[in-house]
Amino acid sequence: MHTIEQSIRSKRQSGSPAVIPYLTCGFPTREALRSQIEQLAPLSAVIELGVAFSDPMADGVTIQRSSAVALQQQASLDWLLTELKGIRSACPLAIMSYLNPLLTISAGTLGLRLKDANIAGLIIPDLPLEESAPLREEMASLGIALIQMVTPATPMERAKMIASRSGGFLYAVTSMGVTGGSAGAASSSGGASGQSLDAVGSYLAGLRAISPVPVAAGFGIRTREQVRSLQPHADALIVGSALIEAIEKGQSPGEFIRGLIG
Amino acid sequence: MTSMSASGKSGTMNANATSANLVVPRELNWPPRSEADQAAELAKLLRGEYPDSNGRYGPFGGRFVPETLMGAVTRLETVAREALQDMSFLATLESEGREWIGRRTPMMKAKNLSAAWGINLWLKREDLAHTGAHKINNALGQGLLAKRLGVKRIIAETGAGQHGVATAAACARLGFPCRVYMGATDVQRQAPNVQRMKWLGAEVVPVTSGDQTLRAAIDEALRDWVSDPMGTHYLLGSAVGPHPFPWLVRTFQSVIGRESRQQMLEQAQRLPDAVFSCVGGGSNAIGMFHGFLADASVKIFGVEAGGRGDTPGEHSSTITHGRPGVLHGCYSYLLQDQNGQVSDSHSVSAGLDYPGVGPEHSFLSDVGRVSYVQAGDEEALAAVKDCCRMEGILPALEPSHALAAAKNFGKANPGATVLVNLCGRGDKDMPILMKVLS
Ligand SMILES: Cc1ncc(COP(=O)(O)O)c(C=O)c1O
Repeated sequence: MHTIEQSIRSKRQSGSPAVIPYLTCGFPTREALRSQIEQLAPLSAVIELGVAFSDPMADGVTIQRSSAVALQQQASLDWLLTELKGIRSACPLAIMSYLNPLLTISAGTLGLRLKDANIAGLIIPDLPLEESAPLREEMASLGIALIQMVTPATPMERAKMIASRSGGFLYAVTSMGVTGGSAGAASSSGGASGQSLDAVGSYLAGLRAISPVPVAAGFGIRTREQVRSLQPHADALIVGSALIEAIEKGQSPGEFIRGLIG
Repeated sequence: MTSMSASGKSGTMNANATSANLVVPRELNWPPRSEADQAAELAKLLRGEYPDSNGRYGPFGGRFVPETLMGAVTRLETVAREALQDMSFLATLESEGREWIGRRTPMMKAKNLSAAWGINLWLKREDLAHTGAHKINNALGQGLLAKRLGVKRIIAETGAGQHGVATAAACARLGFPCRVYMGATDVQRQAPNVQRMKWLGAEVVPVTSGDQTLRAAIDEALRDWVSDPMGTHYLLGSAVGPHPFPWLVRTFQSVIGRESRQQMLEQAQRLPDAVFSCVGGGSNAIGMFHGFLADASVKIFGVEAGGRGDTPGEHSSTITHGRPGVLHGCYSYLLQDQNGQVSDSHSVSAGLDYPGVGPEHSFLSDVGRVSYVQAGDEEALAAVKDCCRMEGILPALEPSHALAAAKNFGKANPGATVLVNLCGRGDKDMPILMKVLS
């Protein structure tokens, strides 16, 4: 079993919610990273380390804002991988990056650099299953999980195929749209209406029935109530924009996550 | 004729060329190094083998989109392929093209510019198409497809506002609610088009994130689309984005090249020595080029915006200065820094002010069929003046870049027969022209 998968399963067995916080690395400063990881790791099943990108097309305003700040702080994939060599984390780390920053590291060396930085998994929002084969093979040979996403718009047959190829966990997007909405509430942007929390629950149950790896729910999880009601249906819960907003307000990441799961 | 413009990069290996990486398989052996290999790749394109089943042109293109959009882009391709085989769809496209857009658009000998520049200059008058630019060809085609998709609303991005106006007009004609995303900078410099879109019934959303130009507008349109991928059609306006868009846009714009080739034979009794189109994302260019790719005697030039100079941030010359990367769903040449962050671009022309380029143009550059050259802000503005005074035509700033490059070509190739795609009229540019020309 992959370390990420193990970590999620053992957190759940211990009875506490398995939470996967997302950080935009370099936000609010590059120096903050070490303390952010040290605070979050003991509370988390996995930490998702976001690499800021100039054109985050799957992200809402909060992560757009934190990404812009991180870029002003000169955050980059190269900086992050170098920095991580000197940071010990009590839980596995996964990198969340749009494809283009990853392309700056040549094919043969990316895996090694990730290994050197103790990275256990990769999440790439703009790399759908159809485009992912070469990367998955290279990562598999190094024991790095390529984590794939499914959404409420993904047909069940396709979700099955994606789950069978996803490493570490299956990333279940709980609401249509960009990051930063609210799962189980009507969506704020024009277009489709949001799903009720019940509908999210049965969507997750359906995915767990077909997925060989744990199912982590993400996009729009921001309150203790949501954590409580979604926790029975998912193996892990991913918290991104809400954590960034807490950091913006000056709250410490550890304190915020404790409040969410406590 | 012997020499070509020296700044063209086609056919020469450059330090930025593609090599194997996470999205380009090593077996592909890209870029083709010998002339024979280049010719073989071009032949595949001409046989219709590109885009391939993965939406690639060689290594370029693809579908680098969030999983949320995979259903929508897959459905779009299926529905488009069916429609393009359906006689009734093609008949509607043709009759609406004739009666509503005003096709076929004229070909005109530019007598006075020819005399001044020492060439035989022909202009394809896409500026006379309904709403004033080639953008309407694609807006109509995709609008008709949206009917077959059964979507409830249409969204679009726009830079110069021409695609926004074209989409708003098509939506009015076809009965769709329409929302157009436009960078806040462009809302200002193309103000007349903003008002036109509103009169045509579209909601215009100024985009204040990112660089506040075309690139940010596309980011924002994509963010809208992921919230309702199946109920909304994203009517993308250039030959960029995830497959099938580059192919679809090319298909609807190819009417320009088909008509132009025929009109040259009718009116000039010959093919041109050289063809010039401006390249922002590359939709007017790809439509024009497809009429002539198989004619080996015709030199083809894509003209990128040279802006104020070659330093990063001062131009939009993606193929000349970029290196391949992924933006807005496709793998193509891209202006970016060493960390893979997309660079800001500049052009006096909002329609060319974009750090990416359509994947088929990257392919055509790497196989050496098309030369990508530059024309700067000043050269384009000078061409606007020349064209106004000598031909009585106010051209848009975008095709004025193609005019400027044609003029430069004439210096080295006196007497050449040159075709320029005059892909839009300049009324929309009045605010910026009044600022910089008076
Ligand atoms: C008149 C005109 N020409 C050219 C362009 C650039 O687009 P493309 O490169 O897709 O033809 C635009 C875009 O707004 C335009 O309005």
